[in-house]
Amino acid sequence: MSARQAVYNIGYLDEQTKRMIRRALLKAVAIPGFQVPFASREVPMPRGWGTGGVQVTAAVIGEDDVLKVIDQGADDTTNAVSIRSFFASVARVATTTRTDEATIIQTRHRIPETPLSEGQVLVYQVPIPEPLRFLEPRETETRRLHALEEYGLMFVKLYEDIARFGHIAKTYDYPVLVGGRYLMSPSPIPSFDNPKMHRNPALQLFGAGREKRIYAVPPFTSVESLGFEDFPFEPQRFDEPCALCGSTGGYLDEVITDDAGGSMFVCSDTDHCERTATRSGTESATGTEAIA
Amino acid sequence: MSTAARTPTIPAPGFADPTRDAQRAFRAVLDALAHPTRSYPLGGPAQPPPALGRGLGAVALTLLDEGCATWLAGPLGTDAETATWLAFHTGTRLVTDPADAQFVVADPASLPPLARLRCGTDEAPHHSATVLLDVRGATGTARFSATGPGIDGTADLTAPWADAGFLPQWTANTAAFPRGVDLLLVGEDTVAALPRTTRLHPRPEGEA
Repeated sequence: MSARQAVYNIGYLDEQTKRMIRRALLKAVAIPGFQVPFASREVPMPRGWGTGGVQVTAAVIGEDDVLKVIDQGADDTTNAVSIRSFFASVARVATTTRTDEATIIQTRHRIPETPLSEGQVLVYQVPIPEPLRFLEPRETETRRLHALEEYGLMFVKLYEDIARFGHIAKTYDYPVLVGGRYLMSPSPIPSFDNPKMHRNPALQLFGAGREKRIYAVPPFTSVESLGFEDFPFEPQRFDEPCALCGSTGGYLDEVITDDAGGSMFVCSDTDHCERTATRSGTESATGTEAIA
Repeated sequence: MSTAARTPTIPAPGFADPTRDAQRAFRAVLDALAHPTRSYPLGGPAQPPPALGRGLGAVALTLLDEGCATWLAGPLGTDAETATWLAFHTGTRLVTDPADAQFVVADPASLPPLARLRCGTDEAPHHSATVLLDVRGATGTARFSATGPGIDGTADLTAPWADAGFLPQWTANTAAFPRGVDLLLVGEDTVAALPRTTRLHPRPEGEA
């Protein structure tokens, strides 16, 4: 007799849990940037490994979806591979590594370089949803600060950076103002990615499993990174091209190559890197110029 | 046929495939809220209570359960078949005061003033009502242009369900942001939405 395999509901979560998450998602979309509490469930991975993102994806995903999962931009890291195979098995969805072919992209700490299009859903895994948490530890107090739209604390923090370092030193999880109303944590994406959130045609959903919060940014919504008139927000920049594909304008990771201090900078978005490399390879082989 | 004769002892079936059908209906509702004024196709149960219809039936099966309170407005509130069907398939608590409800199911004629519904608090604006408005067979001529999150520039909204009193009420609803109610406009096979962030402006008659 063959061993019985456990049979899970489609999308892993039970229907009542999905309804609870779906109701939270609808309110999150209706109040852009506001953190809606939800009853976070256990999923087969530890809290802090993307359980919020997984629950949001599970509530949204259907069998006609195409799922892409990235971890720091990469499709081939442990977290990304296991979440992708999890949904391939419990939701029977097709998976892809190509940004333009995916209908749902679950991401940990990056926004793909390929511009997203209308109809796509970007699901962020969020560790600390409250942007004011390290400035004000009391949840009762941060809720009140959001209610009163009292975000002076955050501006003081940015000012102290300028006073101490001469520039705003926050390079990831850079606070944003959504729809001109709610201060929001974009999750620990590099500040390089912040401008991509502004008026993005895709629907952006955020799930924080351990902290039990869901929030959202609807398409074409203003997402403004905080700054001052004389010290405006400045995203990170890279001067050199990617050492693998030669593209410029993407976010680069430093990869250590030896024990002697050698390193190279390569695209963090593996799909973007691979496709750029393939494209430039074809170009040089055929001698034609592609207009990207 | 009298109401009593039509009320079955066994409620009509819900979704043919509860998991997949609910997922598809939810995506339609989510897409509608993310793209206000735009209409999305909605597939529903084959034999919903006639007073509810396929569209509202699908949204009810997708979103309602024992975790939320629902108020049925006007003739729907006295329709035994709908009450039995909702109780059997969703288990939602039916309340008698619209101010207590998370979900308000109404048609344009029976929709109470929006200010009477739950609009949440500044600290918890998500504790607010979602109105499931039955827009089947509405014959008005109201047209608005809409702006706000989810809309690229301006969108046109044909709103046959809106009467003269709707625009001032909705303007007050958007002005109370982050508090406010959200509106799902549910037809027989379609759903569109107006979240509290969508601002409506009147459009002169006959303007292209």
